[in-house]
Amino acid sequence: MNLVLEAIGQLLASPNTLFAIGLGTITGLLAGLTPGVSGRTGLVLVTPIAMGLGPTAGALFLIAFHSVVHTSGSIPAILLGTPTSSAEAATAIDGFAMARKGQGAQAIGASLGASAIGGLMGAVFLFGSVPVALSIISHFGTPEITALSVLGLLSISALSGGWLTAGLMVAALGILIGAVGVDPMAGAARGTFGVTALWDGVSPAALVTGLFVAPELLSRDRTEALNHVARPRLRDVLAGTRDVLAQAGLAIRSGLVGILVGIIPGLGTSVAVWMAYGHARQTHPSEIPYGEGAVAGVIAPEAANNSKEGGALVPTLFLAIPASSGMGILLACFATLGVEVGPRLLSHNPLFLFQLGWSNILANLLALPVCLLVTPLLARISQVRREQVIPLALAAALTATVLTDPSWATLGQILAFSALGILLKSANLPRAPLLLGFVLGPGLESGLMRSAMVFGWQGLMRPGVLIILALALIGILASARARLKLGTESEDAATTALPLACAVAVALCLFALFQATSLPATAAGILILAGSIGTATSLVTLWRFWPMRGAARQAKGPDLVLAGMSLGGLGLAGLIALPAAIGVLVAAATRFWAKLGWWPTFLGALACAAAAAGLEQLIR
Amino acid sequence: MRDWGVLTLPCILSPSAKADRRAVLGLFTGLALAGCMPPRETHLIVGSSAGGGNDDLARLFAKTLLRQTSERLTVENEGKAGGKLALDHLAASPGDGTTLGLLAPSFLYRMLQKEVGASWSLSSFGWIGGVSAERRVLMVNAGSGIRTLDDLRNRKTPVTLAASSVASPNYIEPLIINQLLGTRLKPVPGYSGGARTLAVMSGEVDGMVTGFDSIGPLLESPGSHLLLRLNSLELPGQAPVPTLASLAKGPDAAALLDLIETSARIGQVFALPPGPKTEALARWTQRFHAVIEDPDFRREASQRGMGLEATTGREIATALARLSNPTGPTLKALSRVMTKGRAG
Repeated sequence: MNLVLEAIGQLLASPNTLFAIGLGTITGLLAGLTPGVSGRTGLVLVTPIAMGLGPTAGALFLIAFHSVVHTSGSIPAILLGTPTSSAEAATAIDGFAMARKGQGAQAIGASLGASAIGGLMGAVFLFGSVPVALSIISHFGTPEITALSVLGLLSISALSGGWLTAGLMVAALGILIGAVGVDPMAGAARGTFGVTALWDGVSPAALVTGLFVAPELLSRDRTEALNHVARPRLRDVLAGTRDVLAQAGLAIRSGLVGILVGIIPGLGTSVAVWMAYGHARQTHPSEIPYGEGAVAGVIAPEAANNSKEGGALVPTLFLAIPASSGMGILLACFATLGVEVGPRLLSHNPLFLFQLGWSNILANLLALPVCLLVTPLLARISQVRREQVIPLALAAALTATVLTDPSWATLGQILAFSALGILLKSANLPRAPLLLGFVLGPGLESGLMRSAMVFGWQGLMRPGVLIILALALIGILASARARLKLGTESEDAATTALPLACAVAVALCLFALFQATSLPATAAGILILAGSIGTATSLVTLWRFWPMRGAARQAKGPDLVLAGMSLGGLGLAGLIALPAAIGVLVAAATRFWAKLGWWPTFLGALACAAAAAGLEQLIR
Repeated sequence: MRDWGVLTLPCILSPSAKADRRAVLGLFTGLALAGCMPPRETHLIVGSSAGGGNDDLARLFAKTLLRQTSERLTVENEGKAGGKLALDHLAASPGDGTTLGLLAPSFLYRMLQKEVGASWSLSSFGWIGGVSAERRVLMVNAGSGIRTLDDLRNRKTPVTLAASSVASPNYIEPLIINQLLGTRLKPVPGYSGGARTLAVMSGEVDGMVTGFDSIGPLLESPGSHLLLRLNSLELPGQAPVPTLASLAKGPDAAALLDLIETSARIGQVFALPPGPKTEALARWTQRFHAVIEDPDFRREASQRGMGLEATTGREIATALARLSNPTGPTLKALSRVMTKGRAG
């Protein structure tokens, strides 16, 4: 305890270290706000700054940076509906729905409040329960991680919006998309169509943009003009943070989910966020339905997102085992600075360890007021008419996605997943289960294979596995009971596009089953499992829809003019430089779709092209 | 107020909208013009993602080169497909010295298994040099119950080792050890990054084949120890560990030992695209040696735990030609190892 206090005392007494933490917080928040600059890329970009600060201050700077980069990362996703990662997508589902109702400031307030609680929980956990954490890590083997993935997949039920077979069908598609690439067990290529760029799987950014961003921005529904929304003020943001306090139980439970997932190497932010989101939908009733602006749908993923970082620091700092790719880069940065982490840190230099923990806490505490002050300005985006925002949002989404991996393969994936996302939205099918299947599928497959190879059937009898599977069983029973109480399922919400969506799903599943016949057993298993479930649930979904097809709502397709322009922008991005393509897309959409004047068209296009060029240079 | 469309966004941040519009216009025009006129650049294509693998070496190399020659080397990460995209990209670039590649250490195994390199020959690249040779070791943990090589040989059940994928050295090299020593090592693929280390540390698997420089924390765990040195580089600060070469037997021994030794020795390799201009290769070879002999480079590389043993481009070219010879012993021996490994 003395060391903990001595560490904070030293930090507060030193202007250098305080400056480093402040600078890390500000640059972390800016990096989070910048499209395409994730925590990983950001760390690489700011390493030279850390070098300039020296070993101790540099390490504190990096920890502060990494602690808050996710805090501001969800703000563009909430305001513009343009998530660029599967983690942000969970927040954007309800956050963007709130913003469209003119509650953008509240949504961001809730996001910031939950991030602060999650961040603080992670930081306290970092040095408050070290022995427990190390014990959990050492007892969490592959079978337990696999069981955790099974538990996570149960959220499909909650994310299916009342129509379980449709949710399972979409989740099966997600698992199949997650299986694309060269599998590590047999080295067999699955669904790559000979494209080398798909060896490591599909681009998560392209999948998120296609599934969530494109369908919303290209929607024909132009009635959501928000110019009558009152000007956002600080009190609106604070109302959002008060929502977090009112639902503190959910924030704490989600924070615990984040910590647990964070300390286990290999699971990643997306798993933490989607498990927390699924947990909220399963256990936390909301007056406003999830997906339509439930503030709990913002609180849960944001708390998990930030608490996960504190959890991930435990194996990183104490064992020198990076719990995620971001932590791997952090370790490399520490090595560059000459800072030694690992088992010897606790015994040789515990004071420094606690200083790192305090840096995490101080950064989270500092980020909250900074963001609260800036948010009313940023939230004014939600006042701007939809026609004016959409060209800008399209440009931001396209730039951020393409910059993750500038190639024709990425552009092709954006196109393919946008078509799939628009089809699912038109059919009124849930899209979140697809992302859940995509996020959890690869870990589940790899975990099952490794458990079988190392433990055999004994893997199922491990205490940790039994506990997690018991929780899963309880979840299934609770969900089934809730469904029985609910009575009917919501097939009536289906539209005339449902048969086409089911046909596409069946075609994809049959293709996967066909491909499985030519693969080694270890590579074929997941394709057979997901393909069979997907085919069966697609046919059941279609069978249940068929009698009521006459009464189905007419499907709403995308705005074809804007979709055509976006397609042109994608093509141009492949043929000419990205900034030029962005400029042309914004100009065309602003002038001929939004029908604004030539001056705003010219200036908007120039601004977006210049921003894209600047980001391109920065990230390279 | 006129409808300024998208410009409303920046303008709402300032009370002085007119001045703000001018500032925004001026700023973005300048940025756009700057973006349209990029300076002449030399590209270094790196076969790993930013912040990982050999990216660190690439950036340190670029920094030192800039200081020495004022030439800016732009690092481009192509980490996908285990570095295959980087190789494809490099193979399609001009050989005039404006594009270089830095290849991941595992590229050799991938190339020899024909996983990459189907469309071009290894010997056609311009090999500049290699740095950061690896000390490959087999380590086991306390839970394995293995103390000596005899324990390893006499064990009735397979010895499980964490591996990343079936194309990685940490999967292939245990199979080579089985071939040469008659052991029952069972590499289990699917453990990536930190999960691999944790699996060994927690006792989920018995050990792994890895680079000595990357397992410091693991060796501090009670009972963990090194069982075998796969190549001839000495291990600093360690008690003597037997080498694979001193124990290997069988008709494939020479070829497979040569493969492991070469793969570890050449380390991280700088190369020019196939058919490089002689002048470009000579210039980059001279610069490569100037950089790796630079005292500041060596100090920083050492701080970051990089090995500093260097290999010349000529040595790399000779070794690769020998290993990839279709009628030579290496490919046949490797094929036998992989066939037996898959069957086992």
